[in-house]
Amino acid sequence: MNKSSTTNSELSQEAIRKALAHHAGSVPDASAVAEATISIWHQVVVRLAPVIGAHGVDVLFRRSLYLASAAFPWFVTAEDPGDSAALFASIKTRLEGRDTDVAIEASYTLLVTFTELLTTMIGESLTERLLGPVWVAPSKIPEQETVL
Amino acid sequence: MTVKKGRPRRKDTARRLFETEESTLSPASLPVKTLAVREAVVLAGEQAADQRQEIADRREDTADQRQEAADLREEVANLREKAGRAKAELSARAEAQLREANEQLVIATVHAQTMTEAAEQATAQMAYMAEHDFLTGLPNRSLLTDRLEQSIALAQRHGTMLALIYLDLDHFKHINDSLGHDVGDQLLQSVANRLQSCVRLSDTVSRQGGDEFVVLLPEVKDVRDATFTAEKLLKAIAKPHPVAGHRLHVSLSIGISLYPDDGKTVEMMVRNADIAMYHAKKNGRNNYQVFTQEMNVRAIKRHAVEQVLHHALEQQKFVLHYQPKVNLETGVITGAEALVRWRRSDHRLAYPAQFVSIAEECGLIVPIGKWVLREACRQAHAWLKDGLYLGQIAVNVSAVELHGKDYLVGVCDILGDTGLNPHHLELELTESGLMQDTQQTTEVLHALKGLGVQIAIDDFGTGYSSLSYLRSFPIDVLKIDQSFVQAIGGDTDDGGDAIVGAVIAMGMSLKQRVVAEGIETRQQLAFLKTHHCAEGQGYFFGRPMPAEKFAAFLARNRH
Repeated sequence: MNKSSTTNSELSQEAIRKALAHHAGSVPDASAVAEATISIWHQVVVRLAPVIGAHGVDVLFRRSLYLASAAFPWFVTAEDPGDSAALFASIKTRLEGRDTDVAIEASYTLLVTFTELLTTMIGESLTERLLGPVWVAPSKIPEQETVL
Repeated sequence: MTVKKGRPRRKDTARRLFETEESTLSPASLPVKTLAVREAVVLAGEQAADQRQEIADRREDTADQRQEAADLREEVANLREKAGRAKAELSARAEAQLREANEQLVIATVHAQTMTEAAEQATAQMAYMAEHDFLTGLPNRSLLTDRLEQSIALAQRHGTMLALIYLDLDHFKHINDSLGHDVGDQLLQSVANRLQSCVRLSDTVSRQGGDEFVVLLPEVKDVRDATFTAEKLLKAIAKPHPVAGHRLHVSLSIGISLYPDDGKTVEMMVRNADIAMYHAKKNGRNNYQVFTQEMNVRAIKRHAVEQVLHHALEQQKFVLHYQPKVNLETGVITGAEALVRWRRSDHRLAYPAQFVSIAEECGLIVPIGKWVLREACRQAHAWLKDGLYLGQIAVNVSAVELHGKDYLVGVCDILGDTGLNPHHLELELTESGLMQDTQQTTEVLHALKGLGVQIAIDDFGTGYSSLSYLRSFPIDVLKIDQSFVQAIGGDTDDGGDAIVGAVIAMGMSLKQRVVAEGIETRQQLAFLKTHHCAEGQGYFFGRPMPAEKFAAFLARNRH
């Protein structure tokens, strides 16, 4: 990886951390972190589903979850949680059950992992164009764009 | 086009107007000049009318053309609208197809990553398994060899020492056999954990297989470092191991070899540590021994004995001697015990104590035991055929033979080949031999019993066992160990009389024949008779003797 891509990656990670902090509030608890995580994920789905399909997003998310579970084994369970909605609900419950710091780090790791995984597939430029608005202005994504 | 047809013409209207005036103003009534004017006017009027008509016609044509143009525009607009809709539909379809293609690509990529990872994990797992023991996760023989090679190379370069500690669990087989392999495996895992906890990270603890482990200490200053570790290991393993509800106690026999003093290659170091460990076993177990060259001399001798035993088996250098068993009440010979001897190259006879343990260790005991059984059965059948009375011919069976593959089949074959009635065969087993793998032992003994073969417990009272086996195994005979018999009437109050008395009483109550071994004195015989011991053997009645002598002995005692 060259120097500029490392820099871009770091910028992206910083943006993700800020987005998470923005959604979770100034003094978050684990529940707020869980809420913020799910909210961000919904926006990610909104941005990506028109391009790579809902199933594509779902597969990427599950893969990211698996990769992030190397650092946070409690992310995955033996039994399949089911569809995306059930999976998000399950993640939310598991984040809520952790200490706040752990929940923040786990959520951050999951989002970064997802972004990096997407980058390996479509490149940094396109990833930035698609997900940049989620990190920069998480609340300004038009509602109509949610319709596929 | 349709409009043009229905509209009336203005020229015709004007003409109709003048025609009306002509009919009203007759030319005859007007002057000629007037008439000319009038004609000119009429003509001009007609021309004007014609022009007007023409203009009107042109306007009409223009209107028609405009209408046509409007119609065309409308058509074009309609066509454009249709084209736009078609384009939008096409675009939406293309977008959907593109999204679907992207989706499939993402899914395929993730699946490819997952599959690649699975393949990499499988490869890594295989590499790990090739170098680690499955049960304990410790490095296996292959990895230890690799590390030992590297350690030797480093020690050689830096002029340092290293130590190899070879260790074996004492009596592990008893635990495995009596409590099952599952418990045995858990014990091995517990031992592996404790061994690792006793050494540094730079040291290597490996499992060689079974209950054997090797510890490599790549950095030692002198032998004391190695013996210090050995003592630590002995203490750590001696503490009880809580396994499956049991508190298991085990000890270690440890052998130590050092680089460069005891070996400069992997093979030498492992072999010499193994030899030292063997000496620890011989030295009473639960101790460590550091390799010395004298041990090597003994090991070489032992190896030489192995080679000679192989040769003896091939050249049929084994012979059987027979010691009579006697009814203590009547003095009648009730049977004989077949005892193997090895005729050495100098024609002197070697006794079992000199070679059986080596034969057991190198596995030769199985073919030797088979030869003994076959020869004893053949000889007994021959004597019986000659009319000599022989109750049973007793043959000793080692634990290795009894638990070997197809032992039962081997006995059946020999009985069939020699023609000896199974009722004339008595197999003597030791307590420790019986207690190994009790499930299999029970099955084999019951099958032998079913054939009619008699089962005897040899050296009764000296083994490591539970009395409960007297109920679970089909035992016919208890042979009181000679050490108890020889203690009868002795000066020391070591309980010999009491033990013999108790064994006889127990055998009688269990309806088992009791045979006293090692009877040498009349006093011992009197004691045994007083306690109603049925049979006995020992020098008092006759020493082991060659077949010819024993035949004569039998003939003399024929009744």
